Amino acid sequence: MSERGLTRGRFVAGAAGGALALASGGLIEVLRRRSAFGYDGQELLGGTLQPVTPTDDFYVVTKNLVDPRVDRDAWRLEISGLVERPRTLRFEDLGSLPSVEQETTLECISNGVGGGLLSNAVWAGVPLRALIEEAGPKRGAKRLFFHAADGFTHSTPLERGMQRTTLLAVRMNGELLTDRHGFPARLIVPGAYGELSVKWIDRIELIDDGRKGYYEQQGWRAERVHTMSRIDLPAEGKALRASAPATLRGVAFAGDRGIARVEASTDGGRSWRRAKLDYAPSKLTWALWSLPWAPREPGTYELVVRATDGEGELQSTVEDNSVPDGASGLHRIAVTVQA
Amino acid sequence: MKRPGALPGLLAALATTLVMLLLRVVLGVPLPFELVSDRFLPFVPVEGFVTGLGVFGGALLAKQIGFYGSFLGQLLIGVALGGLFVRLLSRGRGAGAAPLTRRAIVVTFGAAAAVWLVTVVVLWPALRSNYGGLPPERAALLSAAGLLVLLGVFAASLLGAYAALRERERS
Repeated sequence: MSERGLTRGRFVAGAAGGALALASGGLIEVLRRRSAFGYDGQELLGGTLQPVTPTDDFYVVTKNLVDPRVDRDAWRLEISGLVERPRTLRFEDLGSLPSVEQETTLECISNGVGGGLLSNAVWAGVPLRALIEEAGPKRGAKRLFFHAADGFTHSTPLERGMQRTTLLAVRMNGELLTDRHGFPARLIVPGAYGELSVKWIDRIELIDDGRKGYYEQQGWRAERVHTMSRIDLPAEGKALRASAPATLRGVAFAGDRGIARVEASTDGGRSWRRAKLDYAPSKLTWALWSLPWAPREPGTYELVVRATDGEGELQSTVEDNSVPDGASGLHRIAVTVQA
Repeated sequence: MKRPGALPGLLAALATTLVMLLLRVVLGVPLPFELVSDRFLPFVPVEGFVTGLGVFGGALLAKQIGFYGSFLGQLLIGVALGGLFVRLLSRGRGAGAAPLTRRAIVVTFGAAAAVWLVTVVVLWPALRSNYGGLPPERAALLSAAGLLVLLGVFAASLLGAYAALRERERS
């Protein structure tokens, strides 16, 4: 009797377990569809590059499995710590503050030489300086410590937050931020790598200590973007025709220092020609460059590019990976020229 | 005489997983896996972090392994704990004995409460996140309450499944 009872019990338990597993599977699928797996780390390279990156193509690198979907009504932005007048803002409050529009390029600190983890967008929002001044920093406040809904944190010197170009952005390319780009509000910190442009920000704390944020604790140093340049066209390994005119194209970026000059070489760096800057609207954005080239002889050519930033400093030739302060080195590609 | 074995643990783990997913999808309460990684990943030096990602085939693959692996791991832990629970409870008890004693119930919920307390203390800084955008203080309370609910569901469903299976056995 007990064996039959237990068998029946196991059947009922199995059915219950099956129902629970099915329901869980459905919810896992909901999360998978919302997850960042489809867009995290996706690079945009090559001939389709546009001066302003469409929002859906703008690179995303996130620590999250599933990015936040912040409820606008529940969201609050707290400004606290070493301030005379701590305040809590709602999303509607941001609309009544002076807003500016600013085109800014962001690059991920993990972007390798020749990588596509950088994009350019037009951001609109409130200068962070206005919010901090209104809260009144106390004497001794040295740094800003940012908190986000997903638990991400990052810090920066107070002076950086007070720069005219550091924004609390609420719009991107003319629309409200999308979830994956930090809705309802994110920072835009020109000159620093993207991890400092904290998304889904919900608290700005003024501090006097050396507290470190999420990736800062690991040892990443994101404060200064290295000057970079990249060849997008022709693509690596592409076969060209001798004497047929071709155009080399690509991007160059130097954080908030601007790009003064881009040079390309078709002989592995022995000689250089100055490229034309087709698009370089401000110091905060990338520059799109081009250079006509008509290879005379068949063979394999090594193309190299280098940039000089707005302060006159030539891009570093030292090849280094992105750990811990961003990659450096020149982008080189090989192309074949056929008769 | 057969015992329920690991079945109560598996059922309890499945019930807990379902509630956990509901809390994540509906209220934005972080998954335990998210809380643990947010709490401890910042302490991994950058070189080790990057090397670790490489071992798992890159950041994206590592995340996918973590995402699916965490559910599997949770089920395995549930089965292991359930098996241990059944073994402890069945020790020295005949087939005709009542399936649960008051002491077993108190000890099970007491253990769940103790695990909750330790978890909240250890994970506290990470509890302030909420994927629905709840402000940090309320998010911390909700995350802590969510963990309590999960452990409570695990304990209750473990006891319930065990009692139901033993009851069948006695009938």
